[in-house]
Amino acid sequence: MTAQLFRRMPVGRRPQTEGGLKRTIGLVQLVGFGVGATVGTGIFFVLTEAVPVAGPGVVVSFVIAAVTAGLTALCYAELAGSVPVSGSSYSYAYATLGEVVAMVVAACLLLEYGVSASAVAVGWSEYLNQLLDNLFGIRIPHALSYAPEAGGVVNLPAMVLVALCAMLLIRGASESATVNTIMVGIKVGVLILFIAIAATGWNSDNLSDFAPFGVAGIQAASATIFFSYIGLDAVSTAGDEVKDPARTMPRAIILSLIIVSTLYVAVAVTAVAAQPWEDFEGQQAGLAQILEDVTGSTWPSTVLAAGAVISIFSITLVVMYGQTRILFTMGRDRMLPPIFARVNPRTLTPIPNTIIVAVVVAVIAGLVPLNWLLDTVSIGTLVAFMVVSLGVIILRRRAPDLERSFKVPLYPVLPLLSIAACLYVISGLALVTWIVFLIWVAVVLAFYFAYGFRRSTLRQDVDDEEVAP
Amino acid sequence: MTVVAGVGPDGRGLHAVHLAGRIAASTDEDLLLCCVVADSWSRGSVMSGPDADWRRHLEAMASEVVGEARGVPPPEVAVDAVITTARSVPRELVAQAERAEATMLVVGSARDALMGHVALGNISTWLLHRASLPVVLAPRSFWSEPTDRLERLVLAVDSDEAVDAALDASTLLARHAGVGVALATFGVRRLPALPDGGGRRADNAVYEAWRESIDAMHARAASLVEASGVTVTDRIVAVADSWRGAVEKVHWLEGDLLVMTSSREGPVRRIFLGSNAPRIMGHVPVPVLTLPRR
Repeated sequence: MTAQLFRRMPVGRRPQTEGGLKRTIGLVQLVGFGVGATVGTGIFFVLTEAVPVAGPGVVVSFVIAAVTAGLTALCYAELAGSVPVSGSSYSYAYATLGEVVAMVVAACLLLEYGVSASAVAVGWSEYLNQLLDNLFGIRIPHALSYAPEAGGVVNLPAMVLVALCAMLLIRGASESATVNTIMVGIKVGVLILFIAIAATGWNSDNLSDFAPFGVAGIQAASATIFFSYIGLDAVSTAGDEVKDPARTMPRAIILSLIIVSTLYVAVAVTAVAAQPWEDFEGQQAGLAQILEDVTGSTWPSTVLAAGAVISIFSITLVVMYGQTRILFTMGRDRMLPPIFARVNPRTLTPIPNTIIVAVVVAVIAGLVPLNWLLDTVSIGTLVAFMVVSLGVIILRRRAPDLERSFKVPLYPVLPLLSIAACLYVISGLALVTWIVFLIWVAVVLAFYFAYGFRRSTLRQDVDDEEVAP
Repeated sequence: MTVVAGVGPDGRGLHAVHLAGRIAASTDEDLLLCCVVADSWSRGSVMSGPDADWRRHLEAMASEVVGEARGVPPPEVAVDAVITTARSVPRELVAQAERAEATMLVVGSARDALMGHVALGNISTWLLHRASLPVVLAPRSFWSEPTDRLERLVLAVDSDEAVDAALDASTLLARHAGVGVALATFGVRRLPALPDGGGRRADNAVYEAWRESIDAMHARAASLVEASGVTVTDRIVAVADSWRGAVEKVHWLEGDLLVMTSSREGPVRRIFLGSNAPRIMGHVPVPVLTLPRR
C-alpha cells in the first residue's frame, strides 16, 4: 500500500540531445522570459487587497514575497535540471517523491493556475469597466459585473474573457514571440507610466503610519502578494535549453526578480504615498483610480486601463494554457480520466480538456469575488514550492550522483531557507484559507484513491508485468 | 468514362484543359471541353439586334478558344467539345458533366491566384459547395506536356472519417491511373513564446499524443488502401508553425494530385474551428481534387 502511494514515475537517463534541443537561451533572453512571465500577474489589482491589511508597509511585503519567490525558483531550477522529464512541478514530484505527493502538488497547481486564471479574469473585468466608463461614459450594470458576494449577480465580462481565451486555445493559437514582446512592453510601459504620474501626487504624510497592523499585517499581505510573482517558477523549467545553466540560471532568476520587484515596489511606494492607505479598500481598478485622483483628469487612467485590459487578456491566455497542459499530463498518467489527454487531430489541441478548464474557470470567475481567490492561489503556490524545495533535499540524498544541469548554491542552506520562507509567508494567511485549502487537498486525494490509485499507468504497467509469464 | 474540363470563352481556363488532358491520358478516359457563355439577361426572351450581335461575338470567341483547347491534350485522348449559353456558368458545367456521366469536373483557379498555386474563384467556390461530383482545381498557369502523366495521388486525411470518405474514390482513381497513393496529414503547431505552468515544453506531450493518433490513423488507412490493390508510397506528416510551412515541408512531385474531402461539419464546429482544407489549398503547388460532401 505504502509502496503504491509512493511509487515514482521511472525516468530514463537524460538523452544527450533531447529531441534535438540545443542550448540556445542566453542570459538576456532568459531574463526576458522571467520578466515577461512574471510581471503584471497581480500588480494591477493586488494592492486593493493587500494595502488594507498591511498599510504602507505593503512595500516590505513585496520584498518578502520576492525573496521567497527567488529562493523557491532556484530550488525549482535544480529539480527541473535533474529530472529528465519536461513538465510542471507535478511531473517533478511524480518522478522524485511519489504518486500521492504528486497528487497533492497537482491540487496546489489547480489552485495556482485554475483559480489564478479566474482571479486575473475578475481583475480584467474591473479595468474593462473603468475603460468603458472613461471612454464612453457607460459601465456594465453592477449586477452583471460583480460576483454575488460583491453585490452583483454574475461577473459576465470575466466569463466572456475566459470564453475568448478558450476559443483561441482550442484553435491552437498562442502568442508568437513578437506579440509577446509587445505585451511585455505594454505591461512594463503602463507600470512605468503609473509610477511617473503617481509620483507627482507624493504626500509623505500618507506614509507616516507605516505599519498600522505591525509585522503581522505585513506578513499577511506578503502572502496575498505572493500571487504577483507567479510565473517566475516557469522560467526554472527552461534549464535544458540554457547555455551554461550553472551560471546563467541563478543570475537570470535573480535579475528578473530584481527587475520585477523594483517595478512592483516602485508601484507600491508611489501608490501608498499618493493616497491614504485607508482608501484602498474596495477600490475597483485600483491603479487607474489613483491616477485619476492624482491628476484630476481621466486620460492617464484611460491609458492605464487600456494597457491593463490588453495585458491581462494575454496573462489569462498564458495561465489557462498552462493549466490545460498540466491536466493533459495528468490525463496521460491516468491520474485523471483519459478525456483530458484527448487531442483533436485537426487542431493539435486538447479540446475537451480546454473546454472543461474554461467552464470551471469561468464559473469561479463569474461567481466568486476577487479577495477570496487571491489567498487561495497563494497558499496553493506556496505549498507546491515547499514540496519542490523538499524534493531537492530528498533527491540529493537519494541520488547524489545524478547528473544535474544546475545545482542550488549553498546547499543545504538554500532549500531549507526556501522552505522556511514559504512557511513564514503561509503562516500569515487566515485560518479560513487554511481550512479551504485542506478541504480541497482532501477532495483531490479522495479522488485519487477512488480513481488514480487504481488506474494510473504506473499501476497498469506493474499489473501487466505480473500477468506476463 | 469522361473527364469534363471547363474553359471560359475569353480563354481563361486553358490551364484546366492542360490538367484535364493529363488526367484523361493517365486514366484512359475521354475529354469533354465545356465552354459556357454566360448570359444573365435574355435567355429565351426576345432577341434584339445588338444583343444578338454581342452574343454572336462571344460565341465566335468561344469557338476560337475551344479550337485552341482541342490541341492541348495528349493526342491519344479523344476530345469532344460543347459550347452552350446559360445564366449560371457553374450550374451549366455541372449539368453538362452529369449529362456526360463524367468522373470529375476540372476547372481553373481564380485570376488572382499566385502563379503555380490554386485559389478559389466564384465558379470553383460554387462548385465545391454544391457539386455532387469530384471537382479538380488546376493551379494558375498549369502546363502539361503531351507525355506527362499523373505520378501519385496525395491523399490529405485528418481523421478516420476522412479516410473512409475518400477511400473508394481515390483508390479507384489510383487504379485507373496506375499510380500509388501517399497519405498526408498537415498540422499547425504554434508554441507559446513564454514558459508556462506545464513546463517550457509542456506542449510536447500534446504533440506526441497527436502524433500517435495520426500514425495509427495512417496505419489503418494504409492497410485499407493496400487491401484495394493500390500501393501506399509515402506516409507524410507535415507540421510547421503555419499552414504554408507545413505544405512546404512536403516533397511535391511534378505529377502529384492532392485529394481532399470536405467532411460535413455542424455549424458550431464550422464557426469555432473552420475548415482546414481552404487553408491548405492556397499553398499547395499541385492540382487539388476535392471529393464532394456526403
